[in-house]
Amino acid sequence: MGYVETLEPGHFTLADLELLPDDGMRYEVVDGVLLVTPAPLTIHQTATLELAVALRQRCPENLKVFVAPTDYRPTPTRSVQPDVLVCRREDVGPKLIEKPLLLAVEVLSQSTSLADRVLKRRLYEQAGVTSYWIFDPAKEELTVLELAGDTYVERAVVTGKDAFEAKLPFPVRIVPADVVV
Amino acid sequence: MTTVEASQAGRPPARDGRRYEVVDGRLLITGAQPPAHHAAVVALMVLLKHACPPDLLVSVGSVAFRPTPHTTLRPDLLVCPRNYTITQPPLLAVEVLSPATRTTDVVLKRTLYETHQVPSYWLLDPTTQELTILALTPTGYTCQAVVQAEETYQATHPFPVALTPAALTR
Repeated sequence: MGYVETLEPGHFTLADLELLPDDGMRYEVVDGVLLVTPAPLTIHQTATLELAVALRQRCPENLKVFVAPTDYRPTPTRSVQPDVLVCRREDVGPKLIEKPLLLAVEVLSQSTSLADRVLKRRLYEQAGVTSYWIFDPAKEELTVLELAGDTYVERAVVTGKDAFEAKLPFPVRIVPADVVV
Repeated sequence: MTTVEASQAGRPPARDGRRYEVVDGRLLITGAQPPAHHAAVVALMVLLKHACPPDLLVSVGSVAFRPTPHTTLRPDLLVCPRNYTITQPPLLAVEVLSPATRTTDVVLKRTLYETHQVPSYWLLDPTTQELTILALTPTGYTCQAVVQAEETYQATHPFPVALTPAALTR
């Protein structure tokens, strides 16, 4: 008789993240599905850094600005790493953050990026992240989503030299064209 | 070593029970699924195979859909013409939900199949014995039916077939 090996259900867990190599890829887990993002392009990194610097300059004492990879675990089955995030200083743990963020920012690697535009949007919405900014460096376009109750509404779409005067998480001025200089 | 070499060549190992998909240049890896998931996939495959006209193909796991050079999707089950090319939308994509894939199936895959013009997308949930039938319209997917447990739904696309969720998820 032959020997048949059945596959154990193999959902990815947050414990699996400890076993993955430190190879420049970004590893995120959404309820057992593993999302692997290659090392970003330079225009992506430029935008990430400029946005983080702009936020850092206006950030009040009780809040903190982080850049990826910073582990945000809104539930026991989800680990995501926004490109830039703002949270309360008191919510920062030694390894990760669990409490709802005040702002998550994703910088798109491809304008179409549905993982950012659709999946991350839903994840941040469900986690109660107050503001979600999607920045498209190719189009120099900032999309600002803010929670109204428990769903995101599109607060602004700002392009090129137009300035966005954010109120949340604190007053800050963002000019998309200046973010990709 | 085989695994590492295969990965380095940009071709992940295909036989480790995991599903590899690419979404806008990002890799999406789904672990091996629980038995209830396999049972539902097989039950639906058998049903569709019996009802399928000769010019169409019912495929489980073996055929991918590559709508752009940066996106490769592998629905749990798909129906396509026999002379199918990988870049053309299949006629039907089906995802069987599990706790691990619920969010990606309901949120991300729905938008992907809609964006890339797959005419029918079905979501079968073995836990609740619920089958959701989505059909593409000029404004995107509309929900044609949510079929519960012992209820029977007469599908017309991609071909006529009677669907009873309880019979598919026992």
